[in-house]
Amino acid sequence: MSEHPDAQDRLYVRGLLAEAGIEETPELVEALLALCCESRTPAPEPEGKLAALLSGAPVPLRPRRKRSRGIVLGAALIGAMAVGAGGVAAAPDFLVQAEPNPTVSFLPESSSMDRSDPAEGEEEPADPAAPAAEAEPVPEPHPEPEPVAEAGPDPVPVPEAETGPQTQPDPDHEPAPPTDLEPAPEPEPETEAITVAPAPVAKPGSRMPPGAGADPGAGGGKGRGIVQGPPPGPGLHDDGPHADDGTQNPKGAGMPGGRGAPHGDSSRGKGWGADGAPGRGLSGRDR
Amino acid sequence: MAPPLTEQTLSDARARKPAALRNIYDDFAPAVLGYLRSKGCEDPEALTQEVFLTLFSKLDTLKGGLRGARTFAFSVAHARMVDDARRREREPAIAVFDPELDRRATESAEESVLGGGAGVAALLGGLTPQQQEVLLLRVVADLSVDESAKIMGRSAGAVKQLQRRALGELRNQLERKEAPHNERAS
Repeated sequence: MSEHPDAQDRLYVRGLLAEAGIEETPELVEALLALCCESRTPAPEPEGKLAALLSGAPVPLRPRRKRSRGIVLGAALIGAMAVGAGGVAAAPDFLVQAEPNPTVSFLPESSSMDRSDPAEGEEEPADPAAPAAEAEPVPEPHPEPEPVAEAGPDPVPVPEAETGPQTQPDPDHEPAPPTDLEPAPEPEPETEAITVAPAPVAKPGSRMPPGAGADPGAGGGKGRGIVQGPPPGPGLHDDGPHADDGTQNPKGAGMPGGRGAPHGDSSRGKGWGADGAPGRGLSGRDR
Repeated sequence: MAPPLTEQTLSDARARKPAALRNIYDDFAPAVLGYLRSKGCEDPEALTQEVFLTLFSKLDTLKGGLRGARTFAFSVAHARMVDDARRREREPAIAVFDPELDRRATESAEESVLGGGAGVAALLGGLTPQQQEVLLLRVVADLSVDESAKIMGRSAGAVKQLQRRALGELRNQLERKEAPHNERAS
């Protein structure tokens, strides 16, 4: 057993045992004093940078870690999250889910076709307001008249006599005007015969047959003519309370000549532009 | 014999005076080296110098005077010891065989009779790492309970409990070790 002359260490060890509540034994005290001797070993001689520092030489001490690393990592993380969120928001699934609504340009055609259906001999409801109610939600896809227009390069409208026997309804079963807003200035069969015929569509760009645009704007998009006649009906302005009625009103269906119709034709709904193309209103999509 | 450290020594060390730095090194280094060696670090001398390089670079921001500097020095030593232990766990140790460092030897008859020769490692071998840590910080580093708790990241009560259990276990080990000797002597 080695003796420990340092009385301070012995006092310290005894105080430690007393503090812990451990009964003091000579072996335990000696073991703890041996542990204290570990701190009395000579210090290692400094080397390298520490030796230079202790000798007075200017030594750059340990450089601080760059804190910009955290900033860069944080910015990269935030950017990645933003890109992810933006990518999810811009995913095409959202657009697919939003498309089931029918295209606005189809509705004028559907309204005209609806009007021709009862003319083929179907039972007509006694209520005059019923056709208007039925024509409104029709999203049925109708064949585009564009192929017909492509087949026939002549933009001249088909005479009424050609289409009359096919689509001209029976005057007895003529459906009542769906809206009471506008009195029909002309006989019904004549107007319908024109609206049903898809042949007059000459311009591939024009998507609606002449007269099919119930909205006055739907008939004069390409036309350069100015409407000279009286206002055709309540569907003339889209912002009116009955802006949608233009697509349901058989009379309004004849108005789309609107701006593109030649003089005097706007009242009949056979809207043709100055260049012979069916009119297409500026507000044709405004429904 | 190095002069005892004073607050003036610490102030001079903050001014990068070599004499003050040397005094601090001579005063702290033996305990730091003993702590690192007792924890089984691979190169305790090199780690000790790293500890002091860190300590001297942070003298300007230290608080608590000399006790604070001592506590900080052992905090750095504790961190270096943990890093060294983790590195040794990751990497296989490649060491040249040194018979003096081989602790697998059994006691000789003389050592058994004399009852000596048990090193610190053998002394602390039956303790848990936490109990070893407490005893080393309290005995070798000469730190208080609060300072030891701060370094270990535990409460003072937990450190006291660990210290009590460590000392009790150490006493039991010594008693068990002494019992065969007494039987053999009788």
